[in-house]
Amino acid sequence: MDGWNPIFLAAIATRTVIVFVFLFLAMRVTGKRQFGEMNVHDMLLILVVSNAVQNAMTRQSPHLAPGLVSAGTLLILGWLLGYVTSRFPAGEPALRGEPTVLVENGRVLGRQLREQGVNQDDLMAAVRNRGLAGLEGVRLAVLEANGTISIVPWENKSTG
Amino acid sequence: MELLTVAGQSLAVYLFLVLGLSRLAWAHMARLTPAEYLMVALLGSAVETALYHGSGSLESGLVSALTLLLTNRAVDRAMVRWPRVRRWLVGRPVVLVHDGRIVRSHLRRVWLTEADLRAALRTKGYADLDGVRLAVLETTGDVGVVPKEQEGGGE
Repeated sequence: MDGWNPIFLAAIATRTVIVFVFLFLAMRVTGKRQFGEMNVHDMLLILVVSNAVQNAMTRQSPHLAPGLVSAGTLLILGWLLGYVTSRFPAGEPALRGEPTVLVENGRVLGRQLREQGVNQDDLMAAVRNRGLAGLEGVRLAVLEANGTISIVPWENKSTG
Repeated sequence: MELLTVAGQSLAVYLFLVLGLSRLAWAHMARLTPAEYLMVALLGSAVETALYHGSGSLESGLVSALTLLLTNRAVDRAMVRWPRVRRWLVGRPVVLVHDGRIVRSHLRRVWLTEADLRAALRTKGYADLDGVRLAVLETTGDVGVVPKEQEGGGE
């Protein structure tokens, strides 16, 4: 290996800058607006992209172009997926899952809880997180497609 | 002996990353944006060769990671300094609900479905659009909700 050869290290620094700028701009162009928490698809895409450019950053020259092409292809695929799911919401449940009602008018729907694998502790944690002590105050609890539990309290929201 | 080198390199890489990351302004934030998450993933990729390729590649990984940290810092600085750069990179807030009505063209523009919007409102404690005067998709990805004035008064 080239060890602490300054030319070699400068080359690596240069490649890293190229990769960073490329990805930053490519993500800006292909990425959708951030909305809430990142979902698994977003994270997966980013992890795969960063693996794709690994050799482009830290290895000798033949690896730069393939890494960028691979990362670019992945980002375009991600863009397509986002475009399709936003334009054709009918196909969305298959990819992202659907929201499930867990509590309706203060009544726990036990079957839904079991089917979705949500335990009582998770539900109560979400309830307390809203500032409620128990299910009495809950009008609606929904397991969202992204895995979070939404709690809608009985009281008019503008007070709390 | 070789295994010992690997352990030593891993330790060096880890310490380097922990120190490097703690210098980033957003490193202590609870929620990462995709750009920030990308940075973390890229740092991981950059040092990966340093972890398992034997002694020669430690410096490649560290130089690459350091370059990433410095470039990221430069971008952050540029966004603070030139608001136009920031606006271009992170966009502007987008109104999703105006006067209690969904602004569909804006939803489409940010690639959101009505189901997405409703889920976000539920997360904020609203069962439906009743009671929502204004909902704005902020640049952080959070949805800010302004409730309607209480109707009937007297409360």
